[in-house]
Amino acid sequence: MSELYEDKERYLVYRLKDELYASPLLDFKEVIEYIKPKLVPNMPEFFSGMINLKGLIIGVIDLRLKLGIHEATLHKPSMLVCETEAGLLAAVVDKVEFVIYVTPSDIQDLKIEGKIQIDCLKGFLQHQDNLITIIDIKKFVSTIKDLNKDLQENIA
Amino acid sequence: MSELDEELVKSFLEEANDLLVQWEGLCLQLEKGVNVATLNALFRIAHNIKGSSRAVGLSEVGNFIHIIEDVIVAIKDGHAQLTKDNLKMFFEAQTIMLDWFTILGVDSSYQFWPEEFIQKHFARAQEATTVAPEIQPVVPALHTHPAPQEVTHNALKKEIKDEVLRVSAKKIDALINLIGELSIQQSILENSFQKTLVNDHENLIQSSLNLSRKITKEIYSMAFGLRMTPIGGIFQRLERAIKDLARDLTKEVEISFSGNEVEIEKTILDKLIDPFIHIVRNSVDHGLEPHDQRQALGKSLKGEITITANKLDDGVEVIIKDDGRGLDQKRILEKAIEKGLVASNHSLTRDEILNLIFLPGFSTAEKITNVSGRGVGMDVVMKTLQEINGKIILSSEQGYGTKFKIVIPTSLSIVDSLIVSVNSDQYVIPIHSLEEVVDVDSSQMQVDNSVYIYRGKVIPFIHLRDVFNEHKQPLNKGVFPIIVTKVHGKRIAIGIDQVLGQHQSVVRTLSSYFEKSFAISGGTILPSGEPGLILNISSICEKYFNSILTAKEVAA
Repeated sequence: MSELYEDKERYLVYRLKDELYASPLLDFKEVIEYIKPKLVPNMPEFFSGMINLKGLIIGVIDLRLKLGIHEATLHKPSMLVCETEAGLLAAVVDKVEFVIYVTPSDIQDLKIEGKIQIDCLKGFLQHQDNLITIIDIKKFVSTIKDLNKDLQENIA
Repeated sequence: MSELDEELVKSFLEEANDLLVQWEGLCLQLEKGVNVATLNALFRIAHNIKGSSRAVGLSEVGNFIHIIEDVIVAIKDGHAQLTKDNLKMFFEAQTIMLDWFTILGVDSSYQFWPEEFIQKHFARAQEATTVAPEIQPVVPALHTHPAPQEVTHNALKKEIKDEVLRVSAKKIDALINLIGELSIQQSILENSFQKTLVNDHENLIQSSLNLSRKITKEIYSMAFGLRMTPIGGIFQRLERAIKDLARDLTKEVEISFSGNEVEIEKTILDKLIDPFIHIVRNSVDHGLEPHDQRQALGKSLKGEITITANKLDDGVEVIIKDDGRGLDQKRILEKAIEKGLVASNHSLTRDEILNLIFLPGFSTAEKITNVSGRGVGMDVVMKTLQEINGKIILSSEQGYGTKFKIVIPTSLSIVDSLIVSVNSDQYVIPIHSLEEVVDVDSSQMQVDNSVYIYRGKVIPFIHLRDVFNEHKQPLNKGVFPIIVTKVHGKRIAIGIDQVLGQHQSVVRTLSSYFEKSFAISGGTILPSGEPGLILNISSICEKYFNSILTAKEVAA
């Protein structure tokens, strides 16, 4: 690695509809081609189901649905596999774009009220002409637990 | 203290834990009658632990066991009698060492000295036995540590993950042989694609595939066999639990065991210990009558507890039986009504009433003893058994005793199951969770498709589709299969779309994300290579019955 990259971190940039998002590359275990998930009943809508990943059964979270994007995508979606506290999970995104080197101080910390819970929002990054939202992917996908708890309570 | 060699300590602890199990067994024998050979064996164990603990640098352990050893020697040489107190002390010493060693297993630098124990037993021993003066100087007052073990113990217990299994070398050799055979088949398969080498390659591939399949199956069952342990290992612990409690309650108990050699997978066996101990303690505490009552009833003074293990086709059954007073149906019912678990105008059968004791929040113990009334009740026993796909069948004759029949799968890893389809999705239902599969016609469902008449009895009917959807859907016309199952003594019929076939499902654990869905107990890979869900039939039924209970409350 050249000196240029010394104090930079690698981020994986992915697309959800028209917007770009990024998370630390090392938070992902694997990027895989889309596998159609099998339904798991009694789970929230954005929990698309499960897939067989080399003999392991892992849950699938559709990030698009989690952000309230319901339109069909033109691309074949991709799956980002990450290891969270609750086990392996695959996150569905529209497209994996590229990997960028980011100097941590370039990330602008700004908290806004939105679909992403504040504790998962790590800030924003201006990259060429794009604005990239940085999210804590592990936390973001695992919040299914809490949401689901509400769901369960509602049922009960 | 000098630096300890972790590896050495580890191997010492392994050995010592085995010795402690023997220790317990010997003490149980001594309780039945003093015998020189048994005393000698006990002495050898103490001596052995002393020697090896000092050798690896655990000098406190050595000093401690030395004190016990002195007492054994005194008894062995006839300088002292084996009193009940002595025996109790031997038992307690074993428990202390077990805990001590457990912590040492995680943190070999753990400093501990069982001061309380020494005070309790040896202050008294001074008057009781002649050996006391010899013991006194050995008790070092240094290394006194104000009992921090409670806290550390609990914190550390979680860290112990890797367990050690004892496996016969034969089993491993056989496994290695099979793996060798499999790799031969694999190389045949690889070569068969080079047509120049082989003539009839299609046949060759076919036969090689067949062989591979056979070998893989054998490897699989053998690999699981490595984890199988004889159930006899926990019998001794049950005996100890029974004897300890009987001693406290001054009841006399005759225990008989059979089926020690029956094998169960280690994970399951470990989970069974607590429920079993709970059941036998209940038997001693609530089941067996006190001496005078037994005498008045004309029963033998010693209460009897029999524990039997039998191998079944698809699992193991363990029967725990006592000849005590049996369950009081009337009292159970009163209690259940009082606690609001049952409506007073109930229509429960005898079996159903008995099974009420498994409901959460139920405890008939009139006085809460520190023995069986500690808040953990039979519901925990039931829950643990359900976790491992076990079943518990309770029968009791008032005045004559209670019998628990516990049926458990031999292995958690492979389940015989039915593959069914609902909403064109495939699901797996373990065969042990169902009583019968029947084809029915939609016209047989009555009262808004919510009941079905099964062998002349009206039982509730639900369709799996409605379990998975929030809104009830109309029933399709025509013939469809239902599965009939029994939970807590209550039958229920569950409708499905189609039975697709039978399958030996290899159970895969699911990440905690899936825990939230009550209907699922695990996952598996279906024959098609797709992931499939294993349904938790008992929790589906429980949810159904609970929702009815709540509905009742709302209505009232």
